[in-house]
Amino acid sequence: MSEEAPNYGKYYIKKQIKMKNTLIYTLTILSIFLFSFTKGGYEAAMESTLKQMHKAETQIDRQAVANKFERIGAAEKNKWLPYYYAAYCYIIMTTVEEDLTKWDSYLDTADGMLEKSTKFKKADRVEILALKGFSTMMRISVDPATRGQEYSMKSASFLQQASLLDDQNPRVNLLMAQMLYGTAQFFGSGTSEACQKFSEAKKIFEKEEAQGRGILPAWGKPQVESMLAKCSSSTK
Amino acid sequence: MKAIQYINRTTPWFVSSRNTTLWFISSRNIINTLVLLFLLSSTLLAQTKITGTVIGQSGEALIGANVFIKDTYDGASTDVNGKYTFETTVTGGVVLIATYIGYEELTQKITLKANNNIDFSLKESINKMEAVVISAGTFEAGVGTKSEVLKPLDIVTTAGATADIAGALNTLPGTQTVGEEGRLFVRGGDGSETKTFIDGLQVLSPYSTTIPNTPTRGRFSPFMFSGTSFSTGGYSAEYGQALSSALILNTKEKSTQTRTDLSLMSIGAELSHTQSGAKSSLAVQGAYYNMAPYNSVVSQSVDWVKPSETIQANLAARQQVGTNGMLKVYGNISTNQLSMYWYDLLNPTEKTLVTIKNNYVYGNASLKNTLGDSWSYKTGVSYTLNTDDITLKNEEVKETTKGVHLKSVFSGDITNKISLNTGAELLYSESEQAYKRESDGFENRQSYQNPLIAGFAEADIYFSNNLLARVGGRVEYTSLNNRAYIAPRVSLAYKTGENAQVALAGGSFQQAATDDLLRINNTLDFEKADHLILNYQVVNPNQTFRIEGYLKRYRDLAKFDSNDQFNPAAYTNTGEGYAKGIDLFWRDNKTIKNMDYWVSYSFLDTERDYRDFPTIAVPTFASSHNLSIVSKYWVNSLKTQFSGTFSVASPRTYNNPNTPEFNGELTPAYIDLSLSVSYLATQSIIVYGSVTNVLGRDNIFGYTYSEAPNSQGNYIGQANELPAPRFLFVGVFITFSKEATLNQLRSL
Repeated sequence: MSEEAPNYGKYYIKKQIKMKNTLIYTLTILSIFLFSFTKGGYEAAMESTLKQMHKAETQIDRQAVANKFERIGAAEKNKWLPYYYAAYCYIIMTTVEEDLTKWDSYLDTADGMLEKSTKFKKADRVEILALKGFSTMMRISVDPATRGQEYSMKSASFLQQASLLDDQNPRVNLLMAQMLYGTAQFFGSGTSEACQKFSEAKKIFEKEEAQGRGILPAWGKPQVESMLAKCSSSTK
Repeated sequence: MKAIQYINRTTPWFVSSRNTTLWFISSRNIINTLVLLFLLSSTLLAQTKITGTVIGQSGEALIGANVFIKDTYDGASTDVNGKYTFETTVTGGVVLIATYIGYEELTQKITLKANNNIDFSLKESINKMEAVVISAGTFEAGVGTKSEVLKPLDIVTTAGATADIAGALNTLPGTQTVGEEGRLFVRGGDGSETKTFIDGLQVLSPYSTTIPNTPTRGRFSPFMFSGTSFSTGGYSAEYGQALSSALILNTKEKSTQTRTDLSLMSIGAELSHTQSGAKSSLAVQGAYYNMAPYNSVVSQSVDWVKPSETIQANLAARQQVGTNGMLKVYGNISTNQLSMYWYDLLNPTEKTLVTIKNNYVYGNASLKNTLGDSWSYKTGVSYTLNTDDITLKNEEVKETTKGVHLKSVFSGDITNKISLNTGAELLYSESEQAYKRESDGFENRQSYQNPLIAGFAEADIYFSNNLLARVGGRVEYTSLNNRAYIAPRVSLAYKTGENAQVALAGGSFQQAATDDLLRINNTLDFEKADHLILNYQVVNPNQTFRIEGYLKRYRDLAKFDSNDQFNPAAYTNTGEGYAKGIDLFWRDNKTIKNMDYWVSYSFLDTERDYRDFPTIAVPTFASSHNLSIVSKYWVNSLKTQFSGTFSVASPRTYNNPNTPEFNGELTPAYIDLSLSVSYLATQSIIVYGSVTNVLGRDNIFGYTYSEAPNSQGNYIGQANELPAPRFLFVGVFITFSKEATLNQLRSL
């Protein structure tokens, strides 16, 4: 849409010269058009950055995407999603980072972004709490012996809060199942309960997918699928 | 044409669309509109290019830095060479911003030309997690602190410590093994020179009352605390009235989980419940301990009538105040009773019934909150009431100690390089001893009150991420003897490598003389010690090495004439002493998989002339060499942790009144091997067992001699030993919680 915009503009300009009395009408159309163009500017920017995010292969790519989200967030002033996605990028960067000493600084940055995101009135508390739960869960791996107890409780408490607000959020369900899975694995107590939760989460993801999400958070389905694959391979 | 300028100035034209459209509607000037629209479409095509490099302080390229024009989407990330390039439709004056994780944001105002080359040199932000820390003298045990050496769980799982905080800290360098005491003796200091603080507030009588040669235990459960900082010298000016050491315990934050815990142990039972809400939590605990069943199974050298029996209740409440504030309330009440027969050394057939009753109340409330973005305050009050009631046949001694501590601390950043910690305190303590003898009705009371006001200020000055200085001091005034005291403290730390640093700390420390002396002479001066510490440490994620050398000088120690013990005039502050030594620490949980071990060695050279010493001498609690090896091995397939602690201490002095030399005799060396096993039965049940002194060695801590010589003119001595060579402990810890996923000690 953005690429075609100038041409439409020129088309209207020609008409205006011929019909003076339709000027107000034209200008109104133009203003609506410009207004929607602006809105489209944000959405288009988000869409293209999300595309870029899905394509990111290296840490430099991911950092660049996070930076872009941060730029959009800084320019927009009333949108929670850019900071939310910036936080998500930093968490994803953590999951693939081999140098454990970098984890805390990535997660600190992610938490800072979430902090900014949560301040907006329209922010989706459930999605933000889910990411907070995710980031806290990641911190455990930095030093499981010391952090295990405290951070697993903290993480679970974020996810529980999110679940209280909306128990049909697929990402909250995914992360809760993930936590259950990790704990069961540690104690060797069987992952069937966790696997059951993963398949429940998958159903919710499918429902969500059918509805379409636009630029709203929609990540997590591939994770559920790979966990379910793990589940079925372990039962064989 | 004004409008055109307006559009041009307003950075991204699409962002300011509302203003633009309004202008369209209100203006009837078609020509202007046309020109504007024309320009508008042309600006879409006219792109200005901005390029540049982002580097760090030492000229290194920063990869992934974010460079952008304020209030626009226009910007780029730097590549592997630190270079960025992007185009913008904006023209004129703009604000360019560069950000990077761990660096301070930098903005530049520029006027855009057709091509722009703008370089940024970013400064590392002072990150207190990564920056150099004051390390001299201090062992931190907390989650996430850079200088942490022991983790909170280590206290519970260290063999030989039997889940006692002081027991675990006794495996660190700088402490002396004084096996019959159970308290912390630090660097040539007496047990009374180590003070305990909970959330920054003083705790009086932090150890339970016990009989001689039975080690005491701390009154506070290690599970209550999220962080422990054990300082063996050179500590912050915030902590006063401690000559040698400060044990700083920080209670846990608001609990996020509702749970019930039950502990069944060979020595008693504990039941606790924690209720967690959105903004508050409340934990209550009740405990009952009785040594009688244990003592009936394991034979004791003490003739118990009624072995120690304790009832205890704990309460911890947390309430969030506003968005950042937290109110903490903690209370501990306990009552303990024991009785035994005491045998006179000169007349062993004569036995005296000794009964000890102890009542203890400790309460503490503190409020922590933020003041703006960079300041915070903490204010709190603590109260201690301890009474010991000792009855010997027809004599009764009743000792009451009370303490109140009020404290307010402000801390924050003056600039991003200087932070300040300052506060004021009021410490009140009083102690009374009442003696009654039924046979002749003799009564005697001795007491003192010590109201003390204090203030402190300390600044942390970061010269860079690598060099930190802490400069400050403490002022105290007591109406006990109407004297004011100034105690300066200085620390320096310099980072010599990514994980290595050297630190130097020095200062003056003081504390009031002990209760028993002050009760007789109310005007005794404070005792003083000067510390000088040099430390080098390398802290890698799973390996820690520390070496610390220190010099300590004692001044104005209280002294008295032992022949005239009850005469206030026989007391002076003319005592003195010194301590010097080297402490070594090595911890490694990397080399052997699932194995964590640490080795502590302390060398100590100390002498002092204090209390009733006739001359300068090595005190009986000091041993020249102390070695501890602690290891913990986790076997995943068994879900079990095996733990062992081996401790050796070189001979200690004792005084034999039959010989002319004071403290001239030496005990045998102390050797102990303790083992423990923790088994994670399910995620909510832990079974724990431990035994001290597996080798069964008869460790002799010294000798006690009869108060008077016998008919042959000899003092009769008896070895100071534990009532039983070994101590066995078995316990089952069960957690009940709704969330099966969250149970405790998964990290054992």
